[in-house]
Amino acid sequence: MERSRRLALMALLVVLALLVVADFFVEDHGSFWIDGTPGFAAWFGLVGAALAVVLAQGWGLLLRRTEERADD
Amino acid sequence: MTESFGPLSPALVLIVAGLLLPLVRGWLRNALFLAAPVAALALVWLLPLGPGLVVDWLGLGLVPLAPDQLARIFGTAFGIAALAGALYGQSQENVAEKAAALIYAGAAQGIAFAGDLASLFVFWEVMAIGSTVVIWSNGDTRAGLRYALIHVLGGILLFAGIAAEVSASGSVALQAVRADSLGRWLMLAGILVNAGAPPLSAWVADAYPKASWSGTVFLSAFTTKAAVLVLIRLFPGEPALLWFGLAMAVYGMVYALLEDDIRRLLSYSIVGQVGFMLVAVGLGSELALAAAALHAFAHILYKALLMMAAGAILKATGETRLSALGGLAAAMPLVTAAMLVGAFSLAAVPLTAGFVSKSAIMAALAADHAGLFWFALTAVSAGSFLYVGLRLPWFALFRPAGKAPEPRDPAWSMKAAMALLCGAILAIGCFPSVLVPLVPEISGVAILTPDHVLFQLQLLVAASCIFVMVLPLLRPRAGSTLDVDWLWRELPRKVLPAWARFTRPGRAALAVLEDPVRARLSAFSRRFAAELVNAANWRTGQIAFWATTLIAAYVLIAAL
Amino acid sequence: MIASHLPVLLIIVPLLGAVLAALSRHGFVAWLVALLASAATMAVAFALLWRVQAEGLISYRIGGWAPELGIEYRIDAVSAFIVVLVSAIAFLTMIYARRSVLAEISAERVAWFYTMLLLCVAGLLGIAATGDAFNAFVFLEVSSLATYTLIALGRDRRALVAAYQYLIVGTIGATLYVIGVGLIYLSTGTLNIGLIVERLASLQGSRALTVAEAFIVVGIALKLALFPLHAWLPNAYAYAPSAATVLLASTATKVAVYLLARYLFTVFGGDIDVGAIPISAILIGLSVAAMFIPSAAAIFQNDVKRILALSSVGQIGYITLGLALANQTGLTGGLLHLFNHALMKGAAFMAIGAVVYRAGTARLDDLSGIGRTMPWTVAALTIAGLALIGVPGTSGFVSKYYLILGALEAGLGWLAILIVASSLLAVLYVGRIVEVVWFREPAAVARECREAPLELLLPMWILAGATIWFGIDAEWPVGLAASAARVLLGGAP
Repeated sequence: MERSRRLALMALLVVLALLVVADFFVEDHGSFWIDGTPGFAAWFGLVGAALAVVLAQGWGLLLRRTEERADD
Repeated sequence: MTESFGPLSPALVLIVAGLLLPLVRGWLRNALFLAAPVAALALVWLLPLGPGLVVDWLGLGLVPLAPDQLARIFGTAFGIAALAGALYGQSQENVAEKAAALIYAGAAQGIAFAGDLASLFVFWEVMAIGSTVVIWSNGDTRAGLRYALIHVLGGILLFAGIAAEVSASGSVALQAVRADSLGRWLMLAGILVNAGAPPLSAWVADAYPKASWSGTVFLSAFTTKAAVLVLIRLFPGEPALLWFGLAMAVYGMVYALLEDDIRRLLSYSIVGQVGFMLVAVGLGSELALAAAALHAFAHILYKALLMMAAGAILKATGETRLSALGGLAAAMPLVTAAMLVGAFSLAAVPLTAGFVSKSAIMAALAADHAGLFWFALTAVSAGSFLYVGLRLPWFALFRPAGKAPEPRDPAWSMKAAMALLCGAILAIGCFPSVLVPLVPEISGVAILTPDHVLFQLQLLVAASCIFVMVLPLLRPRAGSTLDVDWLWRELPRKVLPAWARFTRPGRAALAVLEDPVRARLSAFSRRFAAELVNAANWRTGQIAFWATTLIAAYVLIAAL
Repeated sequence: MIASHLPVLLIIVPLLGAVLAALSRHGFVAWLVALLASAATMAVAFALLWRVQAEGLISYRIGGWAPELGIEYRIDAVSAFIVVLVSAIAFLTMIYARRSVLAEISAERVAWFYTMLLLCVAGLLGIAATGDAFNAFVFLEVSSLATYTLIALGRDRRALVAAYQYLIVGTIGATLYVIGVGLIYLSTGTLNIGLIVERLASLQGSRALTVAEAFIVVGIALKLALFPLHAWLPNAYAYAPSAATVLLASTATKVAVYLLARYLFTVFGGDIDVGAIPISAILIGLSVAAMFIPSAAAIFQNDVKRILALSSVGQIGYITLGLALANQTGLTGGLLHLFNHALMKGAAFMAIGAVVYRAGTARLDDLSGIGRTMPWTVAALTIAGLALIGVPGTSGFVSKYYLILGALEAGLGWLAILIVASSLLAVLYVGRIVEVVWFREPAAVARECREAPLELLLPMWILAGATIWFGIDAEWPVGLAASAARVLLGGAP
């Protein structure tokens, strides 16, 4: 991983951590219990986005082709 | 006849203006192109809410103009989109596209204000024609024909459904129903085709990018959202919509994450966002329906803005493939800003219109305890931010490019249109209460509360972390992703050679028999083709033969 | 008193006009005579319609002879409907014809052309007006003979072959018809349709009558180009002079449909499955085949006239489908489509005739981008095309709507879906034309064209305008078709 990307990732993780800390200080109104726990959105966002990438990459492996559509 | 139309309808204003447009020239044409959407938007607000006038047509009580709250929400959104699109397209030279765009916008208004099934269907068809011409006028006839056929199919399904519904109930009234009979299923299927629902979602990403830089702006606004409107009117709370919507949301996200072409990426994301609306319509509660309408409203604004930015890039560089673009931010600051505002709104970043509407949908899901859909759509939201909020701007605008293309500054009218939409999106995002008169149901939804904003920021920053982590995986690659449209775009081309390959092994063994058989087969297919081309060139004897056959058949049957 | 002789004037005026036109030997004079005669005929037709609507059935005895001996003309709501349609189209055709004919027919034959045109109109009106089975045959022959000549006057050499083929087929059809009429005469002893109906009541189940019906239905089916007996039509329409094509496409097959409806409903009774023949089922089958197969063939044509001609065969399928449904709504839809199709096809053939007038060709390849130089003409063609598809806002939508309701009323939901599905084919062949004439870059031919002259545009736009008008305000034609359907089904007019 090149340097700038590593830096960016670290900065983002710090921001995320700060947001999670801040989450302990506001009153959460969860609708399904778990989504009201502090930091829920952070880990759910990480898992959700990772799942999205995995799903898309898997789908791409199956159905992505390098050539353009013949009739485009 | 005329007086029974009563007050002037926004649909009529736009359609008449569209018909007149080719007849006027020069600055007058541009002025008309802009004035008609302004007049239509004004009419949307000037028309008093009420049941509308009943026009008797062949014994059917038609209500072509029935202004209600829902009509006003969608009418406003369609009106703003038409106005912004017309402003944006001022420098478009192709008059066919401009005329068709106005008619298309008028048909969308007609659908919003239609008070009965028959008027609805009429505008539905006009919309199909208008949009087809918008695509066609950019020159890709095959794609235009594919688009037209899909929409004719949708129109047929809807028409068959309406005919069955009318003959069953005897009335053309618009009423909320469940898909519980064949006719209603047909109606639902016809509407879903236009909404871009599976299995025919592929038409959106096939057709929209084929239009010109200005045409796509119009296309992105009307057809799918008009379908959402009709679903709100006819099938609120239909459980099937929940699943259709979820499938579309996932489909749009996956295909957009893989896509290389900006406008096709945005088209996939239309399907994804309409999926959110369909889930809300499927819930059916008052709040959910209002949220669906509101999300359609916001989506029309930000998707038009994104398509404008994409069109500006296309016009400036002649290119919309992410893999060939990069580093445009410095050269095109305004386009960059527009794309970011649009993308952030789609990803529901706080202080944008998309945040307001998506919050309303989530609140509706929570209120109905639809846990599965709530968690699934939250995850899809995170994924959506990946493709539109991060991947698209990074690869198109910010990444250091090897050879930065030489962009030209967009015309003033394009900039003005983008600024207008940016302003609207941010204003709604910062002051969500301005929407309460339009959509009173959302007054109780928590939008800019600290916990809610914090929740959303965590989600977005988490998605950003993933983006940076897996950046190489998301690098755009030229190519295409297979979709259901493979069945009609490529299968026919493949079947014939494949068939030949399939029969090759047996050929050696059958060499003796094969030649005459093949000769006969090809002679047959040649004859079949010739038969169609020369359908009229029968010999007289053949006609006489058929006449005799028919008589013989008649008499035989009679004798039996 | 002239009012009481209206039914016979309907025939005499164009016949007399034909004689005068032939005697004049001069192109312009002949045209003027034809124009005046057709205008007068149209006035008579509308007067008849008005009287029928006010008073009901009009019976007129030629020379005062009783129906048993002489010939009776019977004008009811159905005949009046057809007569008005035919005479109005004939009048518009005459306006259109002058310049088109000058360009397509050599000068010494122009007078003959108008003679034949008027004879054809007289024959067609006669079929609709007469109440006598054999007299109908005579008028059928009058119109057919005139038609053969009209087609043969086309400047393309293939016109001769087409005319010859139509002559053979038309003669077979007429022969079959007259055999059927003969069989009926043997059984009933009369040729008057009213009397035949009375006497048939006591003869139900007769084998001879069943055979007679088979011959008559097939004979007329040849004339109305019911699939698969349609093959004479495309070439005849494609190679006839443009003005003749307009008249034939809008009226000739329509009058044959009228005759078929007369026999199926009035003569053989409201229940059209007479004897053991499931005519209704056969007719539905053939109509559906007509809706799909010729329309599919139209997609593959390269000559716009042939596309339109094959589309006519397809559209006839919708009309006969309405007859086969045999309920009030379906029959109204069929008759309405007969009316609407006459208008839209008239407009379409006038438009392509105007294109031929300017560009000298109807080949689609040569017409690229001609919409830029002939916008009004091509716009009329487009409107007609949209009506052929059945787009809402055009008359084609209204008639298809009634047909679908009729199919649903008959409990044939699948048929309703087929009606709509067959429109897909129309989308394809109309879409091809529209794409080429509007969206392609103008070819050499198109660049040199100018807009068609007003004389051609005016009647064309009257028909195209009517197609739109009757798509929005369909009250009048629907009323006419509905009362005609009521009469055919045996109710009060």
